[in-house]
Amino acid sequence: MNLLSPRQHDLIGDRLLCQRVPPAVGRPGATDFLDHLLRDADCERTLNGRLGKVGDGEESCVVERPAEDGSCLQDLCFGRIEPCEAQQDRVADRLRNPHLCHLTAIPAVRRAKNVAAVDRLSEHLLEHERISLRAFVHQVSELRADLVVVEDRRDHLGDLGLSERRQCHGLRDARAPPGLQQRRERMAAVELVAAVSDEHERAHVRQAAGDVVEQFARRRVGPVDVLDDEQQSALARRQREQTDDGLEEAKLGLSRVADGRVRLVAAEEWEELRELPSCCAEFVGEPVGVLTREVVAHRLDEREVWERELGLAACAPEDLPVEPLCACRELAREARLAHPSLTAEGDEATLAAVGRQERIFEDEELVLSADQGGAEEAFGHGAIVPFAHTLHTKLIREVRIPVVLLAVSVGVVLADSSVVTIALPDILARYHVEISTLAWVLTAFNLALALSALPAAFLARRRPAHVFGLGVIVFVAASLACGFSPSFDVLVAGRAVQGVAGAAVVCAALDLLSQATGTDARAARIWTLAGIVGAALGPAVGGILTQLLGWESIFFVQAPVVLVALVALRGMRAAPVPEPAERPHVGANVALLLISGGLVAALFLLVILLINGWRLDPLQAGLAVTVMPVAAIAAARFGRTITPLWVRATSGVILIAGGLAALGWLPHAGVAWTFAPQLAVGVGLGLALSALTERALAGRSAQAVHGGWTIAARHAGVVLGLLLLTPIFTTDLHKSERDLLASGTAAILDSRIPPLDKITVARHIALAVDDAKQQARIPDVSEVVGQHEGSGYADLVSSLQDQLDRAVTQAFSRAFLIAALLSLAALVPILLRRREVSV
Amino acid sequence: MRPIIVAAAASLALIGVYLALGGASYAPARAADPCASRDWRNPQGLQHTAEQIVLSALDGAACKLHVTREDMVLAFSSRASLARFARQHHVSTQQLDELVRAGLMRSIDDAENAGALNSTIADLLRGFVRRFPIEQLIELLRQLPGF
Repeated sequence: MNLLSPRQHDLIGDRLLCQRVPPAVGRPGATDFLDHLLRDADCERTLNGRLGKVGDGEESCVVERPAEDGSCLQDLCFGRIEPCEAQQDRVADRLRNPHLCHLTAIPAVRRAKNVAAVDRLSEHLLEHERISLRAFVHQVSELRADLVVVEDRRDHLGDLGLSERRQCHGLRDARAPPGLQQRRERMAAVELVAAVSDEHERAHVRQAAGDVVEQFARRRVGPVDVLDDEQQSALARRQREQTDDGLEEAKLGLSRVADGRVRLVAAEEWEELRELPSCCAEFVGEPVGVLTREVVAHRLDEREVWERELGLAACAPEDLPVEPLCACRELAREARLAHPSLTAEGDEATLAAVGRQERIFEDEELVLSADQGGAEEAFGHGAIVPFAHTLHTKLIREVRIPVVLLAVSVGVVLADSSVVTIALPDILARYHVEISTLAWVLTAFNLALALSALPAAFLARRRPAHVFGLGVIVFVAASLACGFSPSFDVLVAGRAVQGVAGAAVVCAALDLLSQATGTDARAARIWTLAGIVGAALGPAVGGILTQLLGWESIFFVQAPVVLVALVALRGMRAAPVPEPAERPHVGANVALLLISGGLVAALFLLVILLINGWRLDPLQAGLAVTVMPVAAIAAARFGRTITPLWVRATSGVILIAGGLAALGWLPHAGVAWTFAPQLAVGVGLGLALSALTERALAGRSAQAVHGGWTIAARHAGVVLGLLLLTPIFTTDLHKSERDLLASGTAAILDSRIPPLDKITVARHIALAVDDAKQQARIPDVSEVVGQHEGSGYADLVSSLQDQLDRAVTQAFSRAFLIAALLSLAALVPILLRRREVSV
Repeated sequence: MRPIIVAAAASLALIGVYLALGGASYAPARAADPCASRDWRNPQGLQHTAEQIVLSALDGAACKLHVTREDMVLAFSSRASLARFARQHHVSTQQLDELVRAGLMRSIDDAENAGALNSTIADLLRGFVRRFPIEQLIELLRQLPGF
């Protein structure tokens, strides 16, 4: 029976959709609605106070009693009399009813006023025209959201939680979720069924129905064709077959993926997903009724969990466009997400649904995560959010040794960039070279790493395991050569070789991590975190080793640690990447370069200030600068919720610049004053580096190549920072040395020490400064003046020490401030390429 | 945008607090003007008298060379530094001798005028300063106890 007249067909045009009627719907026709109303004890209603004949005309009828009798309905045939509540909730109540929801669910109407309009129209049709509306929802799992939307009215004071639970019963009858490759169009349609009584044959009723259809059509609600019984049964069979096929298809999809199609599938998925945030971006920040949620869905493909991040703004229904919602729902279904609260309550239906899905992916990784509280809140408000749930299977929880070893090797190599900073005075004392020459110990490594990162990455792309193994062996050999180096030249050469080998290790490790973890996204995350931890921990570890075992121990200790990483290669297959490398993310890499340049001040100059300026032991200095790595690790771990990425990166850059500026304006010379700036720099480091590295690697095939770009950019930035900041800081140090000698001598001449001692002390101070200069350290005033005894010496030492500390601190000021500006400059590429840095 | 605002606020607050506590206020102590007249303090013993004479002499020499008294002290800390000082200020050792001699004579006059030295001792010191080369005087000073 097709209820649409030719005119209605014309009105609807392309919107006409052929709706498949689920078997649960049963008979179409005018009496369906009332029939269900009567059979359900919770949902009996009167029809405008008139006696009506329903069903097939013989089985049941509805009688309305006078108001003074309690306004009840009496089902004469079943002998029941049920109280009748107010009529205004008729539609909403229908919708709450789990058994009727299949028949009466109003489709997902996007605007709240449309919901009200639909409601009013429904009431009007029921009460005045006696026409019922029926909607079929193609995907039963969507009923839940639709219903919540419809019920989100103040005059419908339904128990949403109860409603949700009821709706979940619908899942029992729901078809299985679509398979991996399935893309089923969501069809929200409304059916205009017949009038309740004989009047439905009358022309004016048909005309009224036409008007209603026209109105619905304007609101994107399409009419449907209703199939007769024969057609329905055939359709039901087909649906069952399709459901079975869907499951089979999902399994087959997995096996196909296992045959090597992972990347193709993932690339398609990524393209779709990357469009979603841009669709929704404009809705972020709506003041009322807007819930910003991050949806992190993980796609399962041959032990690879493809992470999808959607910075979706799950808005109030009236504000949310249709397309992203639908895509979002599909994503939610495909990612096998479950509602957290329902799962927590042990809802059998949901658990069963999740169970069905999990069975498909038995023994596979399934990671679903998102803001559960937010999802619940959004759900409660009627906003449609692909709800989230975190399921960590054993495979995910399992700590994998190869992953740890690879991460450690990356961390050690990148720590080498800054690990010898604290050892520089000892190296100087050993080889007696100029200070400007001494800087080559740092520069050689970083320059070699920056220059060889990209070639190493291209090699690693083809043979990651071989490149990693070779890199490890050469790195270890170079480390030993550095430790045993008989001359400064050999040390610098060894450092350069370390840099080249380190580039091979780091770039190849990225691909190997992808293999070990089964997912590029996770590998990139581990790789990034290892790099951040290594770079930030470098000075601290170097200080501790230098203090306890001597500077050579830095190289001797790291050699076996990296060598052990070869174990990670056991059982790994070489997986060459056939796709050509894509262009690098210019914005993210340039920003990384500038930030790394600025971070030189935090990682190098701060350590020099602590040890050489304020005369801390390497051990003390190493412990003092642990604030930064701890903050960086915490920020990298917990800052992932900040989206989009450009916001995270910008926040990090601002914090780094602020922390460096504060280091440039230290009010007093003291370790405690560095903690707050270190905290700011550390948090900024964790946020900015994680966001930018993530972006530089995100969504790209041939990750090793992009890892190479990232490493090259970061270490080129370190070289830039060293070349830019070292002259500034050494010049300022020389200048402050002259000022310090003059002001110190003045303090000596004006002091209350014995008069004839003054010139002697001044002369000793001058000689001590000369000696310290030769050894690239700051003189110890107490050692010089402490040889003398007598009144006034203690005050003189205190005064000289204070002047010395302040002068030295001041000498570092300009370098810190320039580093802050350098970091701040990273905002330019971030903001200019905001779209690129936004995911 | 909220994280950016929070980060900016935290950074500005940190910088503001550090500046308010004197983060940018450091300036090295300025040396006194050697050409300015200094009050002759009432000396307590020979050591103080000698100190004031020496300082006054350094002031005089520094004033002539347009350097500070502290620079002069540092210059006389060793032979090498003295030679370096002479090179830097384009003066010969003989000129330096004369400058220091003039400074010493002036300081002896100041001490006599202030009543720190009687005329006999002042004349005796003037004779020393006139006859002995400055290098020998400096060596003599260095060999004195406390130098």
